[in-house]
Amino acid sequence: MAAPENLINLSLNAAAVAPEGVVLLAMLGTLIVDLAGEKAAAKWSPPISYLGLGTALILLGFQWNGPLEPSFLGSFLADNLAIAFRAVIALSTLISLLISWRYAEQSGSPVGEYAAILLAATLGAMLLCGSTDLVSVFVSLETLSVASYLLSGYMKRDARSSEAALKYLLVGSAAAAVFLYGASLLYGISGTTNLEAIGIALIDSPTPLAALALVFVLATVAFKIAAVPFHQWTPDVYEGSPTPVVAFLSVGSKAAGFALAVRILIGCFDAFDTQWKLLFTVLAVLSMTLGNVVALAQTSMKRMLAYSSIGQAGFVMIGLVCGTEDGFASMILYMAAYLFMNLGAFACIILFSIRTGSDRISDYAGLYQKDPLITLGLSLCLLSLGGIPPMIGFFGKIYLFFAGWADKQYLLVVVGLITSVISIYYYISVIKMMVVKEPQEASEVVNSYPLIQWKTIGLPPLRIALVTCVVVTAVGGILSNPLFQWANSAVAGTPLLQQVIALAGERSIG
Amino acid sequence: MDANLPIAAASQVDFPWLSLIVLLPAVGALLMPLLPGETKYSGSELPRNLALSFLFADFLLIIGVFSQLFDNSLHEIQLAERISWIPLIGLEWSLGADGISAPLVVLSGLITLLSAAASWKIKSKKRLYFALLLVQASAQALVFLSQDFLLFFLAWELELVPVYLLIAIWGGTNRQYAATKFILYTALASLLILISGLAIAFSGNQFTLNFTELAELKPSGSFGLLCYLGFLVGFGVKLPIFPLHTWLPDAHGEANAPVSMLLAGVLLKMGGYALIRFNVQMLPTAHLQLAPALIVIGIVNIIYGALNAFAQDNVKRRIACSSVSHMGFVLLGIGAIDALGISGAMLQMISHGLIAAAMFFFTGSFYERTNTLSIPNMGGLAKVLPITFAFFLTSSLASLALPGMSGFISEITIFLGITSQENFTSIFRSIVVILSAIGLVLTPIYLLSMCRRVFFGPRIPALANTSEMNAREMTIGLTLLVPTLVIGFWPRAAIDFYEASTNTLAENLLNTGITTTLKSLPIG
Repeated sequence: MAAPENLINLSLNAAAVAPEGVVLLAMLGTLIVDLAGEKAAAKWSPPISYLGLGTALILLGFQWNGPLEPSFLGSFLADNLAIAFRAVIALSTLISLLISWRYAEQSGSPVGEYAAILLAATLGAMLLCGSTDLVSVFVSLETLSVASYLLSGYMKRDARSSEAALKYLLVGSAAAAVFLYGASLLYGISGTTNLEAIGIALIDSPTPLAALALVFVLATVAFKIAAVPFHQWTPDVYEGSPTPVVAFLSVGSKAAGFALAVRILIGCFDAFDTQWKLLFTVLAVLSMTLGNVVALAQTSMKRMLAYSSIGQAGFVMIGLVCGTEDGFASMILYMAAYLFMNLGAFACIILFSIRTGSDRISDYAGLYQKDPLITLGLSLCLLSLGGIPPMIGFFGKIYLFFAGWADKQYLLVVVGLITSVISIYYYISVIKMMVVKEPQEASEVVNSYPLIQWKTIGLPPLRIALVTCVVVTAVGGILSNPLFQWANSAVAGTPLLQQVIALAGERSIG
Repeated sequence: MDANLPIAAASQVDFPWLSLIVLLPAVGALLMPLLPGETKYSGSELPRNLALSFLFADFLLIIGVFSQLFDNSLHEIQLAERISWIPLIGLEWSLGADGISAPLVVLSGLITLLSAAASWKIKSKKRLYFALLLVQASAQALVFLSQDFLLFFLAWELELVPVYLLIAIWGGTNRQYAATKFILYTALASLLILISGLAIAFSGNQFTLNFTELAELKPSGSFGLLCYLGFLVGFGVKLPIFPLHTWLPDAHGEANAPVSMLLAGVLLKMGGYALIRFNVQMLPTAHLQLAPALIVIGIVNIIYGALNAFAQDNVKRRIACSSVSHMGFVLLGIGAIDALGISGAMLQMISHGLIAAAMFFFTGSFYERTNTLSIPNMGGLAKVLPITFAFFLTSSLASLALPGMSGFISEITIFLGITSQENFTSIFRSIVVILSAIGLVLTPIYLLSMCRRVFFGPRIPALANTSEMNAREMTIGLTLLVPTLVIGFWPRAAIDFYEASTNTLAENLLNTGITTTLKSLPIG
């Protein structure tokens, strides 16, 4: 809690959350046009949300490397780490929205509300990235979660969607309760809700109770990033939810989870450094193994991508466990690369399901003849997810393994390498479906494939998103040096991470 | 890509010739999607012609660069280019050629061009087929030319997907199984390559990925041995080394003839090249310790491959097994740890590249006419296809190392290399020579018996009306067979190319302490 003199000065430094403010305005805007009726909402929600998210991204650009002053009496900090993750989240929402319109239209759900709820989730996720106080962490976490429950149940006429929402709600609330319990323990130990102050208190008196709090908080983080064994909700929720929502959940919501992990584990549990790293190593090994192995057996495209995203989260965790400069930078870089390749893949499967209404992998058989764009885009994105050069995913993965090896995390790197070979198998079997099958082996769905046309409402934005993601995935790897520099300066401009890196350096010398 | 890094090389040219060699085919691949789409019945021949012209230009460029700008009396890296790509992970666009890479780049350029020319009758998905072939050409050249470990690894992984798709789409009936087997074997192997490479790169005081600097680290002891084994298994899948070879008969057997030409002619050579580049050059201590083991594996390869070939009823599978047998000689040569042995291994790679490509090409040529590859279903073809028969017989004779052909020179050099290696006991040497001589005896038996059963014997009525090879096919055949004859009669033509480099390599091995290490071994 803030000292009294701060309260008098009221130096809230609210400019730090200006990007969130714009997103909030955009959300209110979409709600207002929604009042004017379905037609007005369909016409005005897209531009309003583009404008809001675009402005937010520009504002984030201005904040980059800016002066670091805690806002709202120490509950929010716009360091480069927060800015990088907020940018990833805002961008993922923007792309998710671009690929949503036609899908929402086809399922007959109101568009205005959909945009408003997605923007609310974005707001929560972005705030979460910069939160440095248990209270603000919890508030933003809940904003993100509640909006996510709503989104996953958005297709109310579809029983699977409602089932997904209910499951998500139940498991999510349990996770939130666990987090609250852990947070209350932390408050009880240290008498403060500020993460930095808690960290100092824990270093002074690392009690067993604090270890219990660590486990509770870690469980919540693991739930958000869908690490095994806290992943059980993912496949069902991903399969039942509307696909554009899954796209957001798998990238935006996950990025927020990783930001939360950095804030809490590194900012607050430095005293339990060895313990949480050990736990995280176990989680990472389990996630990579289970995610990639179970993905082999999937017949639904969405379920396969759900399990693959569990595995991908495991790869990102390698960077977090390293705790070195390269480790953090590779984590940020891979998140950014993952944004493009995963959303590119989702854009393709959404387009396919708009045209055919199917998500089954076997229905993709022979697609090369009918729709070269989806085939090419999906192939490139999946190859990138599998880490095949010269796609962006190869460079991201190499950086993660490179950082892991430099930090002597041999187990993690070896498991990561082996599971990425496994992942190549299931990614390439989708490509095999699309490209290798002869015209006479094509699925019924592909045989009755509609004529390709782009004039329908909502398809042009989808095409823009798809092409952008695929181009970045394919070319971004070769030209990835700026991205590497960016990830590195994100780490360099974050005092919290610099402290940990310096500490780790001292430990290894000492 | 900004800062130019200092170049540690003998010569420096202003123009990035090697980059041009690598990137030219890739540009061709990027142009493919711009060509008009194929209609259902009449596909245009534009993709093929485009690919052919790009590959021909690339081959001319390779010949020009290596005959004019490359000085084969030097053993250093030449024509070096070094541009920083992603400094944070030490990745550089670093190319260079020495005597070991130069002949293989020429070989790769030639075989890829001929394989595109052999793909005359590809009917479906032409644009994709030729685009993949062009990407493959780029990746191969990059493997042989790259001087940075991560760049090498990138190129090594890059050829994975084109080969997979080339087998899986245009292969035989069992193609998907073969393609999947290929990609899983290769991907698992590259995992070991990456781990070993990173381990060496991080082992020095200063992190480096540059080949020359890595070679100066000279890791020794059990760490060196572990890295050596990692590389050996990783590259051994490509070479292939027994027991990691099981993907090869499937892949070569199921792929169509042009792709088999590429697989046998170039891909296997990537394994041999990498063994020389990494295991011999970077880990000399471990290599000296494990050289006898390498020879033993080589003998197993030779005999096991030959015996396997007897059991194959499919022409292509039989040739594939003979490849396993022939690549065993490369292992023998590398294991001989002297100038003669390594030189013989190089020559064996070049000669096998030409001969195996020729055999697969002729097989493809009569398969197009007979539509069968099963030996029992054929017979009497010599009457109907006399020219094919002559060509096929010539390449078989070359393959069984008839004097006057390149295979004879390379195998005899390897034998000489082993027998003149004073550090092995004479018993070991004589056993090695006797056992591999058995392999030499087995080869003519299975190859000539195949020729007999396919081309002589009762004529199968169904095959009576097959047409003879055309001029294009004869040109391709001659382009592959003439060099084998030239090398057979005048081996200097090839040896001059790489001798300076292999001699230096052998010298380095000697300096590493050949006497001390080998004397401590039971067989040494």
